[in-house]
Amino acid sequence: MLELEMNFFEKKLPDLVKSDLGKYILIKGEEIFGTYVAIDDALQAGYQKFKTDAFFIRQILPFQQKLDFANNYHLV
Amino acid sequence: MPSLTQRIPDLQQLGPIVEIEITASIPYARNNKLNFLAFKTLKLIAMIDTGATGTVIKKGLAEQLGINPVGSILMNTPTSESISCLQYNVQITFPSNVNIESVIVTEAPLQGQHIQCLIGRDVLQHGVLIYTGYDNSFTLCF
Repeated sequence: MLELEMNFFEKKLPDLVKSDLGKYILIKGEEIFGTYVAIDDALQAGYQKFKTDAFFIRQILPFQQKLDFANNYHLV
Repeated sequence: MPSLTQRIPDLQQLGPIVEIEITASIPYARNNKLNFLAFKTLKLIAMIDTGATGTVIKKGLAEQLGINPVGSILMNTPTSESISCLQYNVQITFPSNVNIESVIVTEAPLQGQHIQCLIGRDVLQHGVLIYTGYDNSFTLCF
């Protein structure tokens, strides 16, 4: 789920970094529905447009965002 | 400032754990004009984890809540690097009615039965965490 959106985001990232660095982008399928200064605004737009369906929000940063753990012993 | 203090019999061994409740986020309910009473609430054992960049819930919990993802992120684990994990928008309620209306959490396979959630620095950045080791207690304020 959301693989299409993630791949689309990665493809567009170089251009997005130039135009909307630091903002939050709202994507569904292979379409951009807006960029927002605050994540709460991106969420609100997503819920208004897609109701309870899945959508993709990500902050536009020039590096790949990863979730890190100092102690990852509790992850399988 | 809302706060909670937990006393754990063996804080050093068990870590700063706390029982929390998660449910659909306030923005989700407000924008979809849904009644909160209709939402499922799950009680979880969570650990405060200052080593985690973001908050994590155990895989399968979002499906129980009946909510869809709002993003995905890559995560490193000991067994596989950079696996893609889905992210969900939830509300977290701590004891003493300390409530966070909207948090993006990542669903991941958490090992062991006693912890179903890690509270990461994305939540902690809004508050104050006091770890009083000699007293086997910790306090979280927002």
